Amino acid sequence: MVGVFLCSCGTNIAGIVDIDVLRDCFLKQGHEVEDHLFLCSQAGQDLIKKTVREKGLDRIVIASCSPKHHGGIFKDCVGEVINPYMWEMANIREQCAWTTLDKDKATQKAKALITGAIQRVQHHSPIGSIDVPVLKRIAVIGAGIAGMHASLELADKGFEVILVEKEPNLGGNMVRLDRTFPTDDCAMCTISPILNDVMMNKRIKIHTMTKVDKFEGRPGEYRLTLQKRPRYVDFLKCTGCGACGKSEVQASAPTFNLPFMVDRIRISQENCTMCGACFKACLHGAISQVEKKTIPLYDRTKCVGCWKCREACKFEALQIINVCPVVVPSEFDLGLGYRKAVFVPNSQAVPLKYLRDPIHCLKLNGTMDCQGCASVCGPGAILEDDSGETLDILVGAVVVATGYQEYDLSGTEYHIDNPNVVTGLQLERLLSPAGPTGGKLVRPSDGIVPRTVTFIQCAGSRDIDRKEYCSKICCMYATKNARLIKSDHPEIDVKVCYTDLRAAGRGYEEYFDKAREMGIEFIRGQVGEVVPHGDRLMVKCEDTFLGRPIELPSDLVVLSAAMEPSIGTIEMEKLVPLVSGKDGFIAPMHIKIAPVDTTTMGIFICGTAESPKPIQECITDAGAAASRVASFLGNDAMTVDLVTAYIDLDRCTRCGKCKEICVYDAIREVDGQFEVVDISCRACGKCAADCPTNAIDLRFNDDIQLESSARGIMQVDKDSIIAYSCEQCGYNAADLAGTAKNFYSTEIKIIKVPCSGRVSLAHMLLPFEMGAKGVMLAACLEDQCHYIDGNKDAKKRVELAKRTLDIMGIGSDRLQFFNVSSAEGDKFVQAVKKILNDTKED
Amino acid sequence: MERSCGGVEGPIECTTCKKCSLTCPAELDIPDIIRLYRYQESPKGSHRGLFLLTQKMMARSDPEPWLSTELDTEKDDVYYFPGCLPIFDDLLGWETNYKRAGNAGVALLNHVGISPKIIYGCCGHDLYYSGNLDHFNVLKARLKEKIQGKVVVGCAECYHALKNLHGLDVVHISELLGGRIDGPRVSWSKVTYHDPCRLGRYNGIYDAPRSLLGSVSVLNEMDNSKENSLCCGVSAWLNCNSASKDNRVNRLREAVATGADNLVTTCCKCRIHLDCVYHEEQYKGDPQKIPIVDFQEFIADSIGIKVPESATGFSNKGKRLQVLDLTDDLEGHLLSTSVDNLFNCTTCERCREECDFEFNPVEVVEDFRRTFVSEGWNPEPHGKIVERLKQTGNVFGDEEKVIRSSRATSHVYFPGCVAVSRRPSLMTDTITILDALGVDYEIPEGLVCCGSVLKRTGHDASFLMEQNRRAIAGRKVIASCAGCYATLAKNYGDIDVMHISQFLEDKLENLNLKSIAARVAYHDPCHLGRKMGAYDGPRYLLGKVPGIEILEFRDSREEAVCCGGGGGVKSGNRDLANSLGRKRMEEAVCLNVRAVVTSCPFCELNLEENGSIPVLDIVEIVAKSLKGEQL
Repeated sequence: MVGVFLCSCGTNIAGIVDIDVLRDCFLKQGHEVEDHLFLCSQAGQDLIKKTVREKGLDRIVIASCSPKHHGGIFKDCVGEVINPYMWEMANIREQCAWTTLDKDKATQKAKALITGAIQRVQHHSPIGSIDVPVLKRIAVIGAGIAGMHASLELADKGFEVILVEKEPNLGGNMVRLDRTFPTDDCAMCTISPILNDVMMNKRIKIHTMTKVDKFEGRPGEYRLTLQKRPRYVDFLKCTGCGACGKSEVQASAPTFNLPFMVDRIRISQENCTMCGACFKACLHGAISQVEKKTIPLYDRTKCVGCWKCREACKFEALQIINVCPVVVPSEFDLGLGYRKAVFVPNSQAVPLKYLRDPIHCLKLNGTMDCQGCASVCGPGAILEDDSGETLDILVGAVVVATGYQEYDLSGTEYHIDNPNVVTGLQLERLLSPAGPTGGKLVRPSDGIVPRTVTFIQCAGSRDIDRKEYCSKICCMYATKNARLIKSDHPEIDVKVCYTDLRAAGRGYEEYFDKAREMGIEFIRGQVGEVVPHGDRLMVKCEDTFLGRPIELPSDLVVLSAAMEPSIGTIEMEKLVPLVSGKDGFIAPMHIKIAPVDTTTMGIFICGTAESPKPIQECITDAGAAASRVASFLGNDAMTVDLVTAYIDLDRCTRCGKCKEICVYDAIREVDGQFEVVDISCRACGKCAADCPTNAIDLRFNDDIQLESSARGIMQVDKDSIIAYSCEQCGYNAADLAGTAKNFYSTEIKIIKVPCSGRVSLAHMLLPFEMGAKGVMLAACLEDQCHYIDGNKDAKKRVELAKRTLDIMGIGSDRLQFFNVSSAEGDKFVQAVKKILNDTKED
Repeated sequence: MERSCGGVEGPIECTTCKKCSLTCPAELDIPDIIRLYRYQESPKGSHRGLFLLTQKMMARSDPEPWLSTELDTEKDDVYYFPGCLPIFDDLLGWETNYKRAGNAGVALLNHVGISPKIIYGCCGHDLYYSGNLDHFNVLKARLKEKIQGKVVVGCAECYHALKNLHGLDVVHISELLGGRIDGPRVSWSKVTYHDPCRLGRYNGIYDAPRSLLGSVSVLNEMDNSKENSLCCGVSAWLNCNSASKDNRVNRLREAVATGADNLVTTCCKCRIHLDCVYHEEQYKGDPQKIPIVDFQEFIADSIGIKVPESATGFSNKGKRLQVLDLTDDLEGHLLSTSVDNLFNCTTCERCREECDFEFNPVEVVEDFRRTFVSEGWNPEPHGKIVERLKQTGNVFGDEEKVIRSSRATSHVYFPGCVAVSRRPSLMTDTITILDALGVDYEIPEGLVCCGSVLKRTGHDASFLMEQNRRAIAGRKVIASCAGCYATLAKNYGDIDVMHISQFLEDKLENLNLKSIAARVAYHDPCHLGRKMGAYDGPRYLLGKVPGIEILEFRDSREEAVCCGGGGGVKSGNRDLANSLGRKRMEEAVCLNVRAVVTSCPFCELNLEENGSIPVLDIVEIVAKSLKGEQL
């Protein structure tokens, strides 16, 4: 016996659906039936609770409005008297009374929907919940502007933060920038206080030169294994004094054309008395005196930097000009400057701690017993050996802020091998006062100030063969750099070849207008090729306004290269159960309503790891991520309703299908057996739809519940078309059609499913076995599935089922799939009309 | 109607491979019992019930002609039945072309000059074995209308279904082609052949496919073939589980071990279920890959016959299925099988030993018997036993009570009805020995039949059990009879019980045993051996008697053949009990022994009745030895 509660909803339902007929019908079947003018009212709720208590009911059907409307109210009401999952709602308002004016048909449809609900609720079981403890500590991966801001926000909220950065210094790409749009303020000035705050904050523990090596655990308790690269310099002892970094290397142009090794010692001809003391003191044969009373000769390849010669010289004729003789292109300056084998990435690096590069360091790579840096280091920070460190950390949540990198354009029509073709970030270094030229804009090839600078936009972006997406920030940063050049050097001819200029943002349009006023030439031009032109370059492009080819002779070409996920981001996608979008960036759980959540609970994203975006958006993201983390870890434990999937281990053949299907990493393999991680499971049911052995199923919305709904409906009305509609979109669209009184046939009977991907092939075919006229699936819009790709799975399954229906002579037209958003009530009605038309019987 | 079957997973998981039936002493059709059990349970079937659902649909649908239009068909009065192949191609979700087998079949028929009429549709095999008997009957009626003549099939399940379940004139393509196909024109390859249960064990067709394969390839046999062939692990889409997977993996390993290039079989389902192992997401190279090829395709390819592609382009407009008004006819279905079949089971559990999935059909039999009893379809003598037990508490209606009461003792001796009423010597000998050992025991007042016979025959035994519990009063029990022992141990659940042979095991040293020079054969009682696992104990005990030489029956221990008396057969079907008893005793004659020794008075009763050699209980031997008597 089931308690059936019928709501009249004033005249909303009772005006069309004959409540008396329904009452008689279900009374006759032996159920306990009550009705009320407004079940949702306090009196209505009291009626439900009183009836349940008095009659000792253990399952209930409430036939009223859409569960999306008052489902919550009734769940609370039911939950006061029985388990809050022991009821089912039949939507006889939005999806019945409001879809037709035909009273008989509406009553008949209501009967079918309620029967479906009655049959379904017989298979409901009480559902409990579990408390899962969470750790109030967060790992933030990536210490760029987004990661740092998120760390500070979290620390401010009282959480302990572990900030992991694979580079030796914090700041990511932003510390490379000269100035930032739309205010033209100095990037370093903006970020410096943040860098210092992060360094000083007691709740933030920083691990530089560190990457995540292993990732395991569950939401609320993730275990990360961190691998710290050796610095070969004692982090605590190094004061950043720079004694080891002493260098007198001069580059004539910011193109790397330096010898690999330079002299450490200069012998002053003036002071040298040719006494030979230095020659005698040198134990390594680096100083030689051809004959007495000649100036000694110095051999840089033999000098080990012991400085004995210098101590021996009484006349200060020997001067240390380079402590480390090794010269390597600077990674920080993107190859435009140089560094030593013992170095800091840049002079303002935070933390300002030196490190040694084991590949180039003469001591570490075994070339010689070099003592250069060690013998000048006052605090004795230079380490003989350093094997790095491996550490395990336990955290409750993870924020991934691993950022972007510039797309590699080598080997393309842009001829990036030419030194005078640079990327946007390289230009930042050329413009930066802390950069290799000290902020002087010169041609890398020869150090001459360029006469013409041409910017090429969308280099690699908005290109079907490369990166299909727009990199979003290039229009603005190219405009910014063009303006900076123009204002410092009005004589330089600055041109920008663009595809479309996108200046959407506060103050952006004004900023761009100003650039135009300054005399920067914006050409809507599709660049075909950049070719050498004497010692200059020729940019060949098509003026897409005039449709004619133009050639732009240039001294410096700046490519606004596409932004792509950084190596770190790609590594995280492999290591952590994250879903990557087809652009390669980490996909958020929902692009609109959950932009910093990922598919894996407890893992959040911010900054350009998610998509190309300007700094201010990175900050917004980071704040949002911190806020989401705080909500997630707010309590000591999370309460999870066990509506999740479960696995029958005897049935499970360990085929691994469910694990592959699950985008939430909710299915883990432990000792060769699969298990569901309850707090990760979102109960979408995609796994259950595809498990060949029936070993996995949901506790709520399981196979038999969905089947029973269909059976109940079909038993009442053989002419039904069953419409499996996803809870996220299809069902709402149908509700909307009803609310708008956008009528459609009462043959359509909607069954709510968590995701269209929950609907198995058997669910699709079952109504046909019972003689149904048709079956339709209403899923979220393509690429907008709330469970990432459930609608794609469903679509594939529909294709398979269609083939079978054809073979069986039932006809594939009777099974239709369509994508619809929550807002598209009319589209739902159109889809209904189509299937009715396609299945018309003569 | 009361549906008592439930809670037992075995009958749903059974693959109905029929291995058990082949060893059943009473030759019970166990798969037949299983499918009836399933009728009551309506199992859902793996793949979320998908394929049972499609079969129900196929039972009523008119499938499109999907075989290649290039084939020569419809001229001769022979039918070809290709089966459900396109459904599997469409719905399994991985790339397959199982349809090609059907095209190959007709191409082969064309090759030998036959232009068959094609019957598209489902054979109903899975409906039948999944217990969807009402759907099956609908299909049966439709097929009967469509087919009037000889049907050729290439699929083992279709063969079995059409021939044995629909009663049609069916020939397997391997039988038809035998002698009409000459050697390979393409190349010789090594193959191994997997016997589908439906063709092999069900219909004894082992050699026809082999001889045809032998004429076009080199055939290597797997470790288990023909009657012993391992099942592919799944039938009627019901039993995909971890045990089935292990079975499939083992089968594929066997196939790989033969060194064959291809594993050929004549059942599409065997192909699918074996193929499945290779399509699992977690497949990492074990078992090694071996192509699983349909018999028809293999033959056609070997002799270079072109197999055309299936037809395509079906209409997407079609007819809705007729709504099926099914009536629940349990009685009709249950009585369609012979009641004898069910009541001929001696509950010896020999079948369980044979099952690759360690499933115990006896549980289903006992469960089913309860249903039959509740309907009053049980054999008449069983009813009389119930009456007698209700009146006297003794199976034989013996009013005389054996009581040997002392005060509160540590042990209770439980002689059992047979020892009390039909084999008093066993009881007195036991008492002699127990007394000689100085055991503190009594035969308390109120002890009645253990209830075994009621339990085994589907009756309620709780009234006896309650009475015994009271009489035993928590003391340790020593039982003479294997049946009592197993019942007290397994059905009561709260009794600490030992069989007398176990009790005596470490106590014979204390007795002055004299030599008995005799060769005897030891017969394992089913309820002591297979049911309780006591094989070594009784032999050890018997070996302690000086002079006794123990010989083994050809089938002993786990494989021991039943005496024929158990499970109510002795009373319900005396002829069967006698014939089984005779068989066992004839074996003993061949062993040339002085006596058959066993440890169950019920076995003793039935064996002695059906042979000329004396049958003795171990206890009786020990007592003789104690008294210095010879056999």
